[in-house]
Formats: sequence, C-alpha cells, structure tokens
Amino acid sequence: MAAVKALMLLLSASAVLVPVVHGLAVYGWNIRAMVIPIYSPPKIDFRIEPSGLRFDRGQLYSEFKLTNLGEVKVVFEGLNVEVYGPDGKALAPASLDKAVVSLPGSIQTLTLKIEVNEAALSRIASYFMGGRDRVNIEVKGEAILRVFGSRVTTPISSSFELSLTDILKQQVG
Amino acid sequence: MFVKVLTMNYRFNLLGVASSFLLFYTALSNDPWWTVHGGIGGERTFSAEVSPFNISVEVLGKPVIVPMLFYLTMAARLSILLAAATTFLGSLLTNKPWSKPLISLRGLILPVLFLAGLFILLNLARLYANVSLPLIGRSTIEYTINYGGLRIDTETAVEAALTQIYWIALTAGALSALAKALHGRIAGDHP
Repeated sequence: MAAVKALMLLLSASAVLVPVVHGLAVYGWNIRAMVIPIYSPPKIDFRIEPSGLRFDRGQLYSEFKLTNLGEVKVVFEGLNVEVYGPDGKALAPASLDKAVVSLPGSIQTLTLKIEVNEAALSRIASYFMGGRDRVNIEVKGEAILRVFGSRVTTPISSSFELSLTDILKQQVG
Repeated sequence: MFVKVLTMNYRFNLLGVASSFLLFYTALSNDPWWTVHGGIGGERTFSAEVSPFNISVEVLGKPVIVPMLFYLTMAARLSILLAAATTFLGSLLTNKPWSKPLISLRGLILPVLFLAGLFILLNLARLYANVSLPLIGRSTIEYTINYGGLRIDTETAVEAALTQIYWIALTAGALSALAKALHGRIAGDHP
C-alpha cells in the first residue's frame, strides 16, 4: 500500500514537473521571458484633411477626407463639436451629418454639419472685414466611434481655412 | 445491496469507471470551461476561452500569448490523464487492498480550484486594473485610457459563462469522490 502511494506521488509530481522543466529548458531558464505576455496591438491611425465647404438649405457643411492608415475598421457614429473662430470665440455647434464606416486602407468623406445662425454668419462676415480673404476655423469636441464592438469616446480637434471666395461661390451657386 | 449493484457483486467500481471515462473526455478535449467576450454586433473587442488544458486570449483581434501557460496547461492535462488512468485501473481491481489509493480525487479538486482561481483573478482585475468582468452573466465595462495627454473613454458590453464541459468535469470529479467512498465500503463489506 505504501509503495503504491509512493509510486502515485512520484507519477503525479512527474506529470506536473516534467512539462514545466522542459519549458524552462526550451526558454533557457529565462523565467521572465516565459511569463511576460507577448502582444502586438493592431495599428489604429487616421489622417483627416479638410476637403471642401458647401452651403445647403441654409446649413453649412464642412467636408473632410478621412484616410484610414491603420489595420482596424472604425465606425464614426457621431461628433459633438464646437466650431471656433480665429479669435477663439465659439461660433456654432456642429455634428456628424451621417455615420461613416472606415475600413483599413480606405478613404471616406466625413461631413460636418455646422449649425450656423444669423449671429454666427455675422461673426464670420466680421472676420473678413479688414481685408482678409481667409480665416482659420477650429473644430474641437469629441468623436464617438465604434471599434471592434466597443463604443469609444475620444477628444477630437481639427482646423481648416474658410475663404471668402468659397463662401461666395456657395451662396451664388 | 446498493454497494453490490454499483460494484457488480464486488467485482468492479462502476462509479470509478464512469468517472475515469468522463475524466479522459474532459482532459482530451480542447473546449473551454469558461468564456468571456467583450463587444457587440458580432465584433469582439476581446475574448478569452479558458480551461486548465487550453487558454486562448485575444484583444482587438490579435492573440495574447504567455509562453509559460502552454507548459502549465500541458502539466494539468497530464495530471488529469494520470488520474483518469489510475482511477480506471483501481476501479477494475477492487479485490486488491492496494487499489484504493489509485482512485484519485484530482478530478474533483481541479474544477473547484479552477472556479476559485477565476473568482480570485477577476477580483484582482477589479481591484488593481479597475476592470470589472463578471464570472457569469452580462455587464458593461467602462474604461478610461490616457494616451498622449488625451482621455479616451471606452464602453464595452461583456458576456461570460461557464460551459457545458465544465459541468461535465465537475460531475466527473464528484463521481470520483463517490467512487473513493464506494471503494472504502467495498473494503469494509468484503475484506
């Protein structure tokens, strides 16, 4: 009976120790290398460039070229942003016109709908007084994205130039 | 009378035989005992499929590998296969006085330790990583990442479950405990 118990103990210990010792030998007894997780996250990278401006039924739309330089599909579900003039004062709120699905390597158009009212238009007009034909507009706020089934809220900021010529073209057109 | 039926007139330990078959099945299977998935709409932010014999973790579609885990799971598998083999052998040799130590309780200890280990790990993750994963059921994880001075908030729907094969393993363990008790009765009734 004692011999059987001793044999059982020996076999049990071997079943546990042999694989672990073998693993340590394979890794040159480098315990750190064996316990540190190995993980390479996918690349998440975008380029956003202003690509145009248009007026449509009294709304101002600013378009951006969105290039997905990463390895991950991202859905832009919404934008809650504020548009600021060159003097740093808030002009108008803006939101995403429609959701955009950005696949890896793709180029999409992201359209920002800017809620301009009379006061905002007056302020924009005032920027062009004094001889300037271009002003720098900043967009700041947060973007709501869906990445791999998770909802992500991230700060976003971008700037674009508003030219008097573009505005007049849109108004006339 | 009951003992006579379960041992086929003191010839075999049927509970031990049944337990050993279930132990072989669970030890040779790569199916997970516990799964947790984060994400909705068929997309997975992360997933983990865990058993003492096989651990698979993916985050954002890419695997997370810890080399030591391969050898630890191999050790667990060998240990349970040994327990299954000795339990089977002991169940067939009921007339030998030295057959009782062959009936192993490792098949019961492992699923109990597995569940306890999971519970402890999930609590440690909640305390130190501020990530609250359920043991069973659904919840939502809200997590904030600070990246380059930016604060990024994430919200992930999570679902976790113990699988059918876990319950089979626990049943195998319970049967091995009953087989051990039965073996003691055989020795007592039929020395």
